[in-house]
Amino acid sequence: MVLADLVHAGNLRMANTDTAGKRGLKSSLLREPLVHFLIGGLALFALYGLVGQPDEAQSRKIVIDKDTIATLAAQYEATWQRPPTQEQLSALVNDHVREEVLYREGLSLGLDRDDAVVKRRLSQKVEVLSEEYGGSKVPDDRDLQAYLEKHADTYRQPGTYTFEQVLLVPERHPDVEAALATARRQLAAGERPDGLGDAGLLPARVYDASQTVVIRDFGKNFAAALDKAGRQGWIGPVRSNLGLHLVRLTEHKAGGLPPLAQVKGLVAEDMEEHRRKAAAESYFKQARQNYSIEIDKSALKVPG
Amino acid sequence: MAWTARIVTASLSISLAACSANEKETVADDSAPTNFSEAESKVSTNPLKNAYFGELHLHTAYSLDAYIFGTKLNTPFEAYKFAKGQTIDMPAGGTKTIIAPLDFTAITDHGEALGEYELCTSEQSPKYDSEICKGIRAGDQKPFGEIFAGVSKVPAQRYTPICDEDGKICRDYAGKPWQNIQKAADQNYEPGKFTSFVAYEFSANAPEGKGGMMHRNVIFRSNRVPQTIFSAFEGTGEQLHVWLDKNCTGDCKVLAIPHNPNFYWGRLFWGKNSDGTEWTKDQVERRARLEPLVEIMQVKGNSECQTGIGTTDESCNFETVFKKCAPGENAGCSNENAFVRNGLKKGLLEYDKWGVNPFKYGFVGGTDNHNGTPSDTTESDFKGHYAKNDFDPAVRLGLKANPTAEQMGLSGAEDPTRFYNPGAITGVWAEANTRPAIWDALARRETFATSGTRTKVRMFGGFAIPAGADKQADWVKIGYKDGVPQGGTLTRPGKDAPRFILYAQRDPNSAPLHRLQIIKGWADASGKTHEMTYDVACSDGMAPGADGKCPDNGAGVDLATCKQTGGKGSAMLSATWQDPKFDPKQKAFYYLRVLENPVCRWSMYDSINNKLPYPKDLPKTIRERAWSSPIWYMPET
Repeated sequence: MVLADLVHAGNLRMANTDTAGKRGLKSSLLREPLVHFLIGGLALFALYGLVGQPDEAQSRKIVIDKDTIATLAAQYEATWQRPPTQEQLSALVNDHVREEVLYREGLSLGLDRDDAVVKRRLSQKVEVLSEEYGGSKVPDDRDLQAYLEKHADTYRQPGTYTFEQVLLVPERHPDVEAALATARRQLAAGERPDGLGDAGLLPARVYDASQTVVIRDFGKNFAAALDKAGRQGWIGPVRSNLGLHLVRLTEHKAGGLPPLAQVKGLVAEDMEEHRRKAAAESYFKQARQNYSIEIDKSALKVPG
Repeated sequence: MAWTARIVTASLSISLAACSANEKETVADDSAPTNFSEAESKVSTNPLKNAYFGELHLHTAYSLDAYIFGTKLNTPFEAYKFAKGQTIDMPAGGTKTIIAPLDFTAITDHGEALGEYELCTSEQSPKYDSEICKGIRAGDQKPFGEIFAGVSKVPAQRYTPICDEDGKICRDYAGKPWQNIQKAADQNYEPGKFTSFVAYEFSANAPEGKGGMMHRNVIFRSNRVPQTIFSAFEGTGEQLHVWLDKNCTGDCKVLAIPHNPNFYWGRLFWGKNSDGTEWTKDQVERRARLEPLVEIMQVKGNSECQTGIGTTDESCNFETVFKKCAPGENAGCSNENAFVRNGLKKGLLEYDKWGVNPFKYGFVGGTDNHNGTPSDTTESDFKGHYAKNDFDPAVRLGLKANPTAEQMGLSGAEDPTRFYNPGAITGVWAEANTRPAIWDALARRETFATSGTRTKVRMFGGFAIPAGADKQADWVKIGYKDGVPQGGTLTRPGKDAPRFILYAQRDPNSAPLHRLQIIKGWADASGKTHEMTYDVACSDGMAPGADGKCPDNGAGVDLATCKQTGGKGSAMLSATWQDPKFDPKQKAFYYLRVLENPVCRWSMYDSINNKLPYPKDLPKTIRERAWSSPIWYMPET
């Protein structure tokens, strides 16, 4: 693939930036209208320079066409939340012409060469463009499902517990064993847990709580006991920092991979990010082969 | 050559220097706000209410001061990740994970410098390449100082090198971060699981300077919010109320929360407008309606009370920052108007003047941290609250001045950072974890605050509440049937004095409880106010002694390891308490406070972990605590 194709693909992607990923330097860079503009202009310049087109720096013609004006107006509107007035639009064009003239003067003076900032900027641009290396297709559900399964660790959701509990605070009972026995008997007789044991601030029934939430509200020991509990009815006492609990697990939804429909947006975003990184890396590897690189190994050593 | 060099500097730095780091997340669009009402209606509700914990005061990279001090990557988007339990990068290095995920969060970036932030960090901005903006991006503190000095002027003045003479460009550029704040909130709202509020901080400074702040957090009930915000550059706190009444109408509902009264230099509770002008009836009415809550504690100190300033309660000496003011002084020190308890007492008297109580405050707690880490309040892993400014433990301990204090010529000993703390947390009793349910709980003051732990407290008060109600399994039902919850008001006296059901449950991740207290404040017929602190339940099965106080339970801390030693403490404390000195003619308020067994203060962990000497003027241990919002008795006349 030649750079010209990349530029073409990159321009296609510019049109799609709204659906592009929302994370990372590249994507935030891509949402900047200035970058769109610069990539449209500067990168093309870089391309022409590389493939031997007439040097833009030599050209003495500056064309401000419909598209350029529309871009300037859109940029203004994005910033100020309103379209420019006639006067403002003219001023924008004048500024643009001024910038273009000085820019080309700078190029003809060779001020772009050996400038660290220009170098970094151009290398970033090529990197952005190279993210389309190998082409991109919009992934379908089967692609997304495959990605979801391959990166299961990222998307696995924690298990949840639904349970009932009765709390007995030992210091409130001269004989806590007897109190536990009474509560067990009442539960066995089919009484609801709500009115049993010691009054407090804990709910008698907890629905669909993740392990993190169980740990937060009942402590680690309780969470571990709950995790081991089967569906054999009331168990315990389980000790927590709050006291002794009789516990009945009514539902344990195993954690696991959520259905694609539930996390589709996230997976699509991650997959796109992943694809871009891989494409850029692959492009870099190939491009690097075109250079012979010499590093003075003796100077590379860190003293001491 | 010189000419070429100048040209190089002048032209090529234009717009090319910016992309060296992923400095911010820029996501804004103009789509209509998502309608969550269907998702909210599907969430199951508990009419007896659940406790939810959250943050109502947090700064991210969008606050220009936080940005300058190094919080560049932690935008609201990252802050919500932290709130939900994900590990995020800390601004000055390392990573952090919250001890337990939060139920709700409001991110409150400074409204004042949102435009300045955008102008200096957005490449398209016409100010991006100015020397000031370059300095801000490089962490230069001078422009920060000048921008915030402008807030202390009367009237507040924008910083002209960025905002031009008319300030318009700064107002206009605030639009984009304001949209991103809304977008981050909506992206992270999961009705039933996690609630985010669209919010910002109104940050007017006190004219005395010295760091005085007359700030308010503005919290919206939904994503129907005004298109712009009203900052201190647009007017005073009282004008903010007028603006909110005018610009937040229809589906838009809002409340404002004054925070850390200890830094108001007395101007929150002095009975006048913040600029010193006399109140009008309209102003008092608006204030009472829009401000049902006050932030009782945060990083920069506890504002409940301070021993010797209107109270003799010895437990008030907890995380206070300032010494008592000399007579006639009010700035950089604590005076009687600096504390919530005194304000509540004063409010009873103001009611007589206005027919409405302007200080009818329920309690919330927040951090006000500038790291983008909501409710990052654990003592044992505190790494500072202000990015690079206090990331160095020697700075936190006052052995070295922080970079800002240093620039101001202060020494480590003069820098108050070591008197700060990791911050407080807000708790609410609400039917469900949704925006409307939690916001409504805030609005009716059914709230509590903790000094940073997840201790739960609950209180009901009423004339029909039976003795021993706290031992009944259905005490919550009794509370709602025969009384009012915390934040409520009793108006008609019964045959006997009112009873209060008081409950506290420990945080499994902190220390057990030591004692449960009720604090009563009242006004007598001569217009004098009084207060009394009662111990109403003690740990380990003990009862208050002849002096009315809970005995020491023997709990302590091993200062070499910070392990808790001695007494057991209690997991839960409760009581049904009847006011022994009730007078049906006297207006009064009652609130609950629970104290934990002692634990190491954050500074002790810092000293041990980093082998640094311990400053003599810092306590080694603290008793974490929680406060319920008050219940008022306001007899109908």
